[in-house]
Amino acid sequence: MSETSQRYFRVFEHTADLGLEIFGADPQALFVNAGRALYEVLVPLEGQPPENRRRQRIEAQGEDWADLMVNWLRELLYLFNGDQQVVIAIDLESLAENALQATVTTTDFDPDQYRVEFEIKAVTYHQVIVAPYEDGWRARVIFDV
Amino acid sequence: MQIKRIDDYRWQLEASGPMRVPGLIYTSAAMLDQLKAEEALNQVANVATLPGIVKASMAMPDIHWGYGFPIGGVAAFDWQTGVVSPGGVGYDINCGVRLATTDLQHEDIRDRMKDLVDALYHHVPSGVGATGSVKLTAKEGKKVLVQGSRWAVNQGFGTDEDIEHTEDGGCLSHADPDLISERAQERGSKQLGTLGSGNHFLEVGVVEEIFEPDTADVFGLRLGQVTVLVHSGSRGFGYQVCDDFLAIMSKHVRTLGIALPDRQLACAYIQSEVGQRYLKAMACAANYAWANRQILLHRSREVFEQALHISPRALNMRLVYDVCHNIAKKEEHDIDGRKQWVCVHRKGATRSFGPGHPAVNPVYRAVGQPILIPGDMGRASYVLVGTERAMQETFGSTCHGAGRLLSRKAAKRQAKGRSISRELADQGVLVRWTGRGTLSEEMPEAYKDVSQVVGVVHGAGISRKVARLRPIGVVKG
Repeated sequence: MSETSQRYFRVFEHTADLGLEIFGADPQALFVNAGRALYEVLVPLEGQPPENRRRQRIEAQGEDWADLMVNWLRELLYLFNGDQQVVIAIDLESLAENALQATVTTTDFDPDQYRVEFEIKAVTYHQVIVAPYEDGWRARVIFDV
Repeated sequence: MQIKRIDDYRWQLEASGPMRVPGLIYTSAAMLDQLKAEEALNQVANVATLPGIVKASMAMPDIHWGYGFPIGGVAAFDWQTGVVSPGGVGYDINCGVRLATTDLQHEDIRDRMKDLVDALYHHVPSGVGATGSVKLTAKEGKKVLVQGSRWAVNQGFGTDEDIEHTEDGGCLSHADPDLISERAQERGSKQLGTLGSGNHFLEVGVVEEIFEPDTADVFGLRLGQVTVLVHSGSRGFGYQVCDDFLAIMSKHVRTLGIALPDRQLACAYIQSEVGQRYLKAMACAANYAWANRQILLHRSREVFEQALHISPRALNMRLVYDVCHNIAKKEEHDIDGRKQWVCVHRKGATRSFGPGHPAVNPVYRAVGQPILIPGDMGRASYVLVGTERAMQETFGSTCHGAGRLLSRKAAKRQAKGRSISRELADQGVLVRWTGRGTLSEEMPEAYKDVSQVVGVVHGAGISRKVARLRPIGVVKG
């Protein structure tokens, strides 16, 4: 994990699964960082930025911040698990407590080029937290691996 | 939280606060100390708060911290008044194990293990997002979801005897493919006939010890015999079904006024439209998993024949049994002296039906159903038999495996600088794997000692030891 990544998220221990604690200055930064952290743990990209890129729009809804976070990460994870795409950039266009819209840039997952660090299979609701924290915002999410 | 010792193998978590029933934990004093250090006991208590739960929220000795329900959890809910929870089944719906025997003895293949394990690795697709050689059209995909193992056998992947030796004949009849999302259909269409990654595996083993010769004889197990154990589930299809219904139920449960201690316990009343839809979609995923394991077994048969240059008759790879360990089922049980229909959730737990039960296929009915307990890559796996005591105490349930001890991160830390494959080779286990971190995450020390886990269920009488298998070759995703 790079030094930069250590500033915006950390992995915490869970016996069977994997937990991420993510930080952001405000909700916008938190949601973008959560998406970045998910893919940094799943398929860390190294070296040159890939040339083969796609852009697609994502929308997510939620009953509250925590529900929205789970649904947002679910949408991002489906891009890998369902479409074999790796997210390389996130442009969050709008965010409120119950909905968000974003455009993400992805590239094809090539198993010969990229390594899967932790295979994340699902985003769980277990002990999920999204809340103000110190002078910013924090989320805790446990993933099924 | 108050835990009271009942005997050497049983511990009661007293009902307190919103718990509707007590917790009942099958473990040993030594393993209980480990358990107290993590969240699993809180999860047993959380499950006990759900509406309609009957008798107790139970945990088998391989219990560990899951999400929502603990892994190793068993809970039954009244069929009329209780709830069903996707988190009580797990993401990998009908993850399970099947065991096949052969007419080979260890000495027949000792010098050919490398060829055999290499061939299994190359011809049985495994690893993250692996796609299978079975490509499904939408129409055939629906047939898989309705027919389960029968679909695979109809395509030439196996025999009628395989179906007879599978829990529920490899099919839950209430499956309704019209309830499946496009995403789940898409994921399912590509992955049938694949092993997957993580803790899924294909293991060549040898029967090392027999504890109950008469029962072993009924199961077709002999000392020194070569066996094949397959651990896999419903792949991305089951994950998507679970995810879809967790999203639906997390909204739905708010309309019911049920206070959940953990959102992952999202549920619906069994008799509600949402509850029935989940059970029918879950059945589709269960059937997908059975078809998947049936194809994996048949591929293994073909690989053995080709790699060892022997005929199907000389190999005689016979399915002993196939059990599921992530499932919710409608079953009738004796509870406080009366018969009651319940929805039994087994999440990381195996059915353990005893002698005479009509759901046990005729060939095993006199002795009870076979139970397959995989251990880790280096130590052992077990074959057990179901008991009447399990019927009385645990809704006919027992453990499902060794249970994780170390987080994946901790396992990777401990494996740093070591060659796990060489260590296993020194123990006589040849391993082939796909994922970069798989071997570290899955190394033997990452798991509890399966012999201790099995010792508890045997001692408690909720299943009995029949045979121990030793791994000699393992393929991991």
